[in-house]
Order: sequence, then structure tokens, then C-alpha cells
Amino acid sequence: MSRDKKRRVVRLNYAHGLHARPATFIVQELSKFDARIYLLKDNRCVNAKSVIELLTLGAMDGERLAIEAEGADADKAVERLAWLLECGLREQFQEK
Amino acid sequence: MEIRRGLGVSPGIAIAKAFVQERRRRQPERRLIERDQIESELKSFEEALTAALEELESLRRQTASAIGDKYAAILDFHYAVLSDPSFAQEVRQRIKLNKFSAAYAVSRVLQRYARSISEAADETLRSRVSDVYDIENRLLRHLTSEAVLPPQPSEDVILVAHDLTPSQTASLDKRHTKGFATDLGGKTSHTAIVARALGIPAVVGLGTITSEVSNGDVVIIDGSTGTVIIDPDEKMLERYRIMRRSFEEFERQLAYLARLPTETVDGYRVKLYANVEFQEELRAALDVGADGIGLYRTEFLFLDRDNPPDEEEQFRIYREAARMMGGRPVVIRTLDLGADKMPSNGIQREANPFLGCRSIRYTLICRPDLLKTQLLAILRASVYGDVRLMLPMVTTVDEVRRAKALLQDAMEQLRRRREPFNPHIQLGVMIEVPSAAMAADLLAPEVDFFSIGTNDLIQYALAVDRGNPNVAQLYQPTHPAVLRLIKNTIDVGRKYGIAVAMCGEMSGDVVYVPLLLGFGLELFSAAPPNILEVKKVVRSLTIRETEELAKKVLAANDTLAAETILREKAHRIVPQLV
Repeated sequence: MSRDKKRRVVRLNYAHGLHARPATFIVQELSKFDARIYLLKDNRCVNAKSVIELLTLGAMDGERLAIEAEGADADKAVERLAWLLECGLREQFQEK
Repeated sequence: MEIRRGLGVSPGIAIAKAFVQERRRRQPERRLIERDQIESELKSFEEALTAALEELESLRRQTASAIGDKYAAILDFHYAVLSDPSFAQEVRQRIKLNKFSAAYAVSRVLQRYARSISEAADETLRSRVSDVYDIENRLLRHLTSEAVLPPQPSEDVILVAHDLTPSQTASLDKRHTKGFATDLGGKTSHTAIVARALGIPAVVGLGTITSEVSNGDVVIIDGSTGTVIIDPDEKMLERYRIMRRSFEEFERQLAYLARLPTETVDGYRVKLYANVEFQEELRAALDVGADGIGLYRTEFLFLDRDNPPDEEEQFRIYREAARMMGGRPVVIRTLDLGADKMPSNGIQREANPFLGCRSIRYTLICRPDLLKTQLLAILRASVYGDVRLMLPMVTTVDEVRRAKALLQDAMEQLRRRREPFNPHIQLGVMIEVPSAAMAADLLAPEVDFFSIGTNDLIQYALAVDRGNPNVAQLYQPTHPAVLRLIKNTIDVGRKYGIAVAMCGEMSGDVVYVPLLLGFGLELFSAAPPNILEVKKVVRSLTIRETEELAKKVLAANDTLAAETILREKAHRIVPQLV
């Protein structure tokens, strides 16, 4: 299992925190990957492909989050999610 | 029989059976199933899920056109949760492993989510909990026969709810809903706005009405006095039937007025505009024969969303308003929000937000980009009707000049883009700060019109927050100082030859209309439900008598005396209302 496990720590860069709309967007983006992807905050770990689980994390702007993924395309999945959290969400939903 | 008092937010009387929509419906019983029932429970869960998703899709289609994109976005979220594989997976597991019934499994899983969301540090996120309950209700409705059913289309009901949720509004059976009674809410709550838009009575802020009324109980709602009577006796029923008849008779008389001009007995004409807050109220304004929109609020476009609407989105909405009003004036007020209401505003919490960076100050100081985008959208819409522009909460001439400079920029930009706009768009300011009212003569040369906003003007002039029960009685529209500010503004407008309107609550209140007429106000703007009442009053008076009334009130120089004089006058004209 740990064969393909990838991990990366990022800081959420999105003024309103991980709310319904950004969470919905993340799930849509991640559905393209086969890997199992998790998002961790403090001691909590949730499935990053689930809107409702992402919401329960209550992640706010500037908070440190860890991304973990396992599976064939884990590398790319981690990269994608990291990009989303660090600038993709802002690009998508905040001022152009 | 029991009597409850709340806040009447939409007038009228309704008598019908209660239809109770609990925010959190009775929790489904903890029911365990046998091994051989697992398959059938799984199947009913899948069917309920599919049905709920289909229902959401069709709601989404209806909603986007009927109520607006804001609610559509909420439904999107519901859809995302219901189509979330990890949610469905968890429910299936509870059914298979814990042998929970499908209803109980759904409830348990969603409650767990609701619990962890309610622990979030962020308030916006916490407010999502009610959405999760909404989702739970939706699924359970498809799962259990005893769960909440939509009102029977053949029967009239009074909807009793904790607080009307947007998705309840979207799926409301408008033909058979005769009134609302809710636990929560105030004058500007969602329930109040929807009730007024539909023209049905509503009483809000009743506290615990959902637990006091059962489905099918007969309920009387008096939206004028804020009274709710549960299970009335025959005597009470008869009394209210008579009142309802006379109210309906009065409404019929008023409806007849919609086509008649707003003029006094001696032929002096005034204009009667509508204040609107939501796109759906435009229809109501047209129905009562409004001469135009005197206050088109734009805040609804900016609230409850992560990022402000772009130029194109705003343009489409303003254009729609201009087209609907078909050449009648539409006065669009630029964003009137406190910094506290805007996400990511970069402003620290203010100790005194009402004296802080709000309204035109906020857009000029912190977000000129927002104002510019809005001006671009309004200008582009200006070729589709008689669109006018209004700046809120102006205190200095300099603010007007800065806004005009931005307007020039916007025009320049549109010229470069070769987009059409009305270069002579009328620009006005709200007079709602005492300094603006006192120095109206300095503002007059800069603008095309004034519009007096009485709610803020009274609050600022008397330094009183009417939401604070300890001092609410100091909120006095007829305080001599307030009357002088209003009169001065009207006099200055006349002297400089610019139009003076009033779009506060005062101009929609039958008690004050005669006085304002006597002051020489020529343009009244009121919420759509008050428009015909105002017209009725105007059409019952001569200009002479209003001028005498104004003299008498000013001479009295006393709030209580003024109120008494005005109430007596109004009572003689519309005893049903005063």
C-alpha cells in the first residue's frame, strides 16, 4: 500500500476557506484521477473526492493541509490538488 | 384555542389548515432490519437517491428562471452532496453492516456530517448545517411514506416552518399557500420578502410555532397585527372571517386604483414609484401600476456568494429590469453594503460599522473596482429603458465628484469598446445622512435628483438604533428635527429645479403621506404592497388641506402632537389601516 503513497503539505490560499462551491469544484477536478486522495488537517483525514467530507474539514484561508494519495496516478493527483489549493481556487472563483 | 404574537411582515388575513414543515423532521426511528431485508432496503435507498437527484434537476431548471441564480447555486450544492460517492457508500455500509433501515442510515450519516460542520470555526460554513438538514428531508421524503409531503394541490394551507429555506421557497405550491407563520425571521427575512412578493400574509419571529401547531390544525394568521390563532373557536373564526372579507373588499377597491392616476382631488399629480429588492418584485410593481422603480437595490447580487458578479452578469440583470419596466424609470442604486458584509474586503472589524466604511464609502475607498464594474453594467443597460443611477449614503460633495469621475472613466471605456450607452444618464444621490440634508444646496448643482432615505436619516439624526428595544421609542419620524431635514431637502430641490423623491419607509406609510404631500414632495417610492395604499390616500386629499396639515404639524413642534394629528387624518381616509 505504501508503494505509491505520495504526500505533500500545502497552505490553503483561498480567502473564504473551503466552502461548498470550491469543494464541489475540487471534487469535479479530482474525479479524473484513479488514485485515492486524502486531505488532512490537524489529526483529521478526509476523502478529497467527497464534497461533504471536504466541508467537514472546515479548512480556512492560510491553514496548513496535507495531501496524501495512493494509486497509479498518485503523483499527478497530488500535484493537481496542491495547485488547486494554492492558486487554482483563487483563479477559478476570485477576481480574474 | 391559543393566541400567539409575532411580527407581522406582510399584511392580510388567512384562515386555513396548518401545514407544518419542520426544519428537522422527526428523526426516523432507529429501526434494525433482518438479513433478508438488506437487499430491499438497499434498493429503496438507490431509488430514493435517484428520485431526489431527478427532483433537484427539475427544481434547478424551474428555479433558475423563476427565482434566480442564488438559489440555483444552493441546489447545486444539494446535488453535489447527493451524488457524492462517499456519502452513498457510507449509507450502503450502514445498511449492510449495521442492518439499519435505509431511512435511519441516511439520517445517521447526514447527522454526523451536520455535527462536524456545526463545529466549524467559520460562521458561513456553520450556516451550511441547515442545508444538510434540507438534504436529509429531501431524501427521507422519498424514503418514507409518513415523511413530509408537499401540500395537497386541492387544499389551501398555511405554511408553518422554522424559517423558510430557499429550497422550500423554490418548491412552494404558490396556488395553495395562503400564509406563512415561522419561528424565526424579521422584517427583512427571506420569508418576509417572499410573502410580500406573493402578496400573502405572514407572521414571523413566533419562537416555537412549529412545535405548537400540528399538521391539519386550523390556524388564523393576521399579517397586519402579527397575530396567530391556533385552533380558533367558532366566535373567533366568525370575527376573522368578517375581517378577512372587509380586508379583501378593501384590497379589491385598491386593485381598482391600479389603473387610475395618482392625483389629488384637486388634480395635483405626483409620481408613485416602487422600491424593489429582488427581480421577482418587478412583476408586483407592474401589477400595482407603479410609474417606475424609485429604488432598485443591488445588494442581493453580492450577498451569499464567494465573488462579486461580473459586468456581464450584472448587465443582464439590469437590462432585464429595464426591459420589464418598458420605458418607465428604473433608479438603480449602487452597492449599499457595510464592509462587514463583503467577503475578503481587507478591512479590520470595525468598532462602529454604521459610522464606518460602508455604502458609497466602501466602494469609493476600498473597492473602486467594484463600483466601476457596476457602473459599466448600469451604463450598458441604460439603452434598454430609462435607467438612472443613484449613489447611497453621500455625505460630501467630493464623494459625488469622485463617483462622477469613475462614471466618466466607465463611459470612456465603453466608447473604446464601441458599446452603446446613454451618455446623459441621470445621476442622483440619496439624502440619508443629516449633513447631506442640511447642506443639500451644495449637492444640488452636482446632481439630477435627490432621493430621501428616511430609515437611515432618522437613525443618524436622532442617534438611535431602532433595532435596540431600549431606545426604539426614540426612533421618531415626526421629530421636529427630522421634519426640518426633510422639508429643507424638498425646498432646496425646488429652488434648484431638481426632482426630489423619497424612498424610505415613511413615503410608503399612509400616516405620513398627507404631510409629505403638504411639504411639496412630488415623487413617492414605496414597497409594492404599499403602493395602492399610498395612491388611495393621495386620491382622497386636496393639496390645500395637506398644506394646512403641514403647517399645523410644523407649528406643533412636538412629536406626539404631530403623530396624533397625522393618525387622525389617516384614520379618516383608510380606517382599515390605521
